[in-house]
Amino acid sequence: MSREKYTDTKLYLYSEDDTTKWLAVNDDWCSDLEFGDYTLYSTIQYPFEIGKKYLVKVVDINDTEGGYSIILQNDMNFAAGVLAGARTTMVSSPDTYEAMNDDSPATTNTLIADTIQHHSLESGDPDWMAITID
Amino acid sequence: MKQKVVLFAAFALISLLAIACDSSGSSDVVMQTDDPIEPVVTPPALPSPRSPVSTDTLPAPTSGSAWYRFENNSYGMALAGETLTLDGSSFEQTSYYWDGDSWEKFMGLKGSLSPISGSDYNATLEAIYLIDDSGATWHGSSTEEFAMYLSHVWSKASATARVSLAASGTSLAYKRDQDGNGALTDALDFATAFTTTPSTTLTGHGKYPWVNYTSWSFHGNTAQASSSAGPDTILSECLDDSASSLVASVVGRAKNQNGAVYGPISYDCVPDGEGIEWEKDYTFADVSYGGLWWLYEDVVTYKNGATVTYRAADPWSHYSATYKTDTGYTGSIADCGLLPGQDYMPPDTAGAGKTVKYIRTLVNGSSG
Repeated sequence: MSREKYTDTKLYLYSEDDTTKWLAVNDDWCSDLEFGDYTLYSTIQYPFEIGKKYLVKVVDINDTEGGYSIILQNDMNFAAGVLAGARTTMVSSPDTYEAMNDDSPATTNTLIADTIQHHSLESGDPDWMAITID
Repeated sequence: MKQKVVLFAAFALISLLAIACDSSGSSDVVMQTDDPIEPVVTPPALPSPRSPVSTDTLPAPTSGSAWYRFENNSYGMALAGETLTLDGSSFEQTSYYWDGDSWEKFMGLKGSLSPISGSDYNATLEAIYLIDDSGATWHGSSTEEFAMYLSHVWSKASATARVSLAASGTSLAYKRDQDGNGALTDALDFATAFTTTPSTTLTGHGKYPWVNYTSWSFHGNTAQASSSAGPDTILSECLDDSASSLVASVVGRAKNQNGAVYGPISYDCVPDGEGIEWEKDYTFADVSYGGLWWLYEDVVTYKNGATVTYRAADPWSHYSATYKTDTGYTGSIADCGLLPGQDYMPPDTAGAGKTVKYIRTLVNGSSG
């Protein structure tokens, strides 16, 4: 199957107090060895300020509907079973995070370290989630 | 899209400059005091460029009452024109774009009208006409194409939509219930105005290059931020449907929010199955500048002399552009609605009070 058929995510990282200028951004991380053909996914490696709250925005750069999973972790490597588990997880649309106002910076969805979230992107509808660095 | 490559004044000017450089730059000049022999130079004939301002006329519909409207593109130049024919029981709309030389039709709508009251009608779209990729064949849409375009060009509800056609003198107010709820004034409904004037004065004239996206990526080498990295930039051209590109060169420059600059980067033309792209893989010798990088400048030059320069002052601002068409018309646009390609390079060290973490997206079972 062509990789163009998969969600093409773009990640933006903001501080909680300024959602107009992102601190970091990434479209494709290009990790063929991990993802095989699925190279359209994104990674931000960032030096977070301890105790500060951040916001993450996820969009599909083609503005199309599709699924993706997201995780916050301390290193690049996925824990055993994470990739395989995500690939077998189907997410219905709208996903459960829509009820948490996740289409705006006022989201109540929080990304917890090492806890994967499975999402479905609506067309033209970005996903927002909060991160607090302990 | 039709393309015509012609000679332009810019080329003639370049030729004259080249001749001047050849004469004055010679190292074999010998000062002569008596009867020097003047070199004989025959300058090339200048081509006649088209007027940078002209008036062009849409073709008239063949029957019924004829209405016209025009729209400018984001460069402030006439781009789109539309004709509307009404005869009381049917309608026919044909849309055109201005390709720099002439109006080229790209879509037609045809259907029937059934009066409701006053100037309101039930308008049933019966056929959509499209131009094929070669720009030569005008054909009725397939069932699939009709279904695909219906919600975009007519109604999200059905092929029959309420329309209002209120003519007053030389103008026609046109409204269409695009969301299908029966009203004509909702945000998603369509409204425009036609006139009886088939001509428009083009404020600009000619062809010009443009860029529909740029990208800049370190391809994950940010994991070793102090090592080499490969930024990649791809520029796409919409005006080129020929086997060989009309683009002579694409040159980009990148900046880091901490002040570092990189470039000029001369891109390579890379044909692929979907068209011609311009890209360059670059390897840095030193990538010690952490932070946001963005492609702050792109300069595209056509072989016919047209140019466009995009600039973005920071990673959060859209490009602005200045351009010159192939006929010598110059203009600018403050906001192209296009963000520069960009990527984030993590610093070598996290710094005091900070901790490095990774946010990663990955494929799941609903991704395809």
